[in-house]
Amino acid sequence: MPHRDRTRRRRRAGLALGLAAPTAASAARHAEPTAVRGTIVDASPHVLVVDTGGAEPIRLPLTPTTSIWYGGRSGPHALVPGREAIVRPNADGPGVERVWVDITRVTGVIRARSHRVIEVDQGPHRGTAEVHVPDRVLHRILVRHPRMEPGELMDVICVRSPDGPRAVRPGSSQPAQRLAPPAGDAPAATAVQGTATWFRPDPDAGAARGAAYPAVDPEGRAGGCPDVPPACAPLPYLSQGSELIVHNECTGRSVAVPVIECGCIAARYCDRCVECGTSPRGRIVELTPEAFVDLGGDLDAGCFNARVDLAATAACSRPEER
Amino acid sequence: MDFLPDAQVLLLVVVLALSGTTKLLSRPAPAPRPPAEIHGVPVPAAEPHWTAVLRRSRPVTVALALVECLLAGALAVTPHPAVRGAAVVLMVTATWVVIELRERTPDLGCGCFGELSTEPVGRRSVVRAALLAVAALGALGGDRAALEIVAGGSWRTWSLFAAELALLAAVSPEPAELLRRRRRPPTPCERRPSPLPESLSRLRRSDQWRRHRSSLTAEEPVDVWREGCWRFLAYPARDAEIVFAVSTAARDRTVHATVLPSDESASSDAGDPADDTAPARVPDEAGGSGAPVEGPAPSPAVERSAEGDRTLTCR
Repeated sequence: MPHRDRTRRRRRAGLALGLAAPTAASAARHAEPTAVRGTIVDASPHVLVVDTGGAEPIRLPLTPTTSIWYGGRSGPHALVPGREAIVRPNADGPGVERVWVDITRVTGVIRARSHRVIEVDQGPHRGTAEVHVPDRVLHRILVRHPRMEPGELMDVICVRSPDGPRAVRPGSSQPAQRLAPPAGDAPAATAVQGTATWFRPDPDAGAARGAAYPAVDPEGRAGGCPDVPPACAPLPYLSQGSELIVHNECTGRSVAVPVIECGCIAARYCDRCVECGTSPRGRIVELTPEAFVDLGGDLDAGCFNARVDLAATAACSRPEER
Repeated sequence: MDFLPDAQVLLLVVVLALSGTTKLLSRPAPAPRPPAEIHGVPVPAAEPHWTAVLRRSRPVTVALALVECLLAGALAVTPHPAVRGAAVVLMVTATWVVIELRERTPDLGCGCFGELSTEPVGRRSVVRAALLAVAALGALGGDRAALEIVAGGSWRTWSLFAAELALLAAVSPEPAELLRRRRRPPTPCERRPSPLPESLSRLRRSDQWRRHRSSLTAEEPVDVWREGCWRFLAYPARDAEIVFAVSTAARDRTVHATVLPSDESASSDAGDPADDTAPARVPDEAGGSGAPVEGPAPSPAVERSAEGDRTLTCR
């Protein structure tokens, strides 16, 4: 859905119900969009040059404290031209805090397995992926996914390779199977707590910073998938274009992002994140890498404890209050 | 001593009519499919017991319900011994089946009053079935049909009937379960699955639809989306776009509408929903948060009036 249509939906919904936009005070807490994603053009021990698709490549200063990830902790030798880099600049000055090189993630339902290659169905939006699981990381992944059989859920952080994504570590801090029934009659709330993860969006989605939401309405043109199980967390139905205020409870940062995709795979997960304390069960939002990094999330960790505030949507407007 | 069989006849008519009706009206939930394996160990497919087959069979349930309704009607209009005998056979058989269900497949519930109760078959269900069998036997001695008893029954008949009905209610799981269901909070409207035909049906019965229908240029919405308790339907209109908001609540669904001039709706990307150029929301129900705007397509000038008083925030 084009950005313009998403914005129009928010505006028209607000007008139909007479809702005000979030106040400037709440917007002031939001994290600035600082993360950079692009293709490495050139790199030296001191400068990283990244092509983000704009008119000019971006030059980012590297420092001795810059942490580089390439399938694990790595060094400047991983900054090879042609690879993709996702960069988080330092929050308190010039320089780069972290660089993730060729990081990707495979989340979905196992469709088939042959020795160390696992075919994963990532849902109707994301297609299938063949993950290679090297012997040295197999035991680590088996801790979270003890039964890598067709029909089981799979979530792994990977590094790109010529053969396809190569698993590095599990993307979930818990076994991912649904353990608790969905909260059918849990009371309504304007904020929901749970786990935020990240995903690779459709390049045509048109938004570098957006969210996949597990409870997108399947009716009409809302953009939801049919046959999605109820999410583990008590989430209201929303649509593509709805705006979420996502709060990272570990860093205290917030950002407002539009829903750009149905998180139909995230709805199947009922796990917790333990990045800072233990989150309530359920994945409540999947973020694009840029939005995830803006909020202070580490892509290789896979998740952060999150709160989704619905103040920017009509979801917190109830008919009896009209 | 005629009041003894007369009260049993009344009791049987009420119970049979209620049981048959609830069986016909309630739809059973689909039977759960057992897992093929547990912790990697295959679960052998077990042949279901005949009581479970009968209990889950919808044709059997419907046939039994029709027999019960027929028997209730016959008891109401005729004192013929064959009818009383049929009632005895039915109640004794029901008692045996309930005992079998309790022994073999108690988790299925007895289904005595359709799906009103999902409680496993227990001692209370057996006692209730046995009491009704005794009542059917007691009705054999009477010589009046239920309608005659209603027309000229003594106070003793009615007192005994009321006492027996109270006793049956006390040993039945259904009344307690109905009370529990009423107390349980319903799924909140923001998480309630609401099919699109439900919203369209409510919209087309609303005052807002009647008010704006003549200005619409298409019967079908150009955009449909949802945010929590509201489904939004955008329709093209002459020089404007009309957005209806239909509640997704289980009952008392309200409808709101707003008219956006086409130039504003097309150039609204940078707009702020709270800005002071926002058109007014037009409530459907009387006593809403603003005065209704008359006419098929109000002009933007009319719509902008008094918006500030009605603007709400989510917090």
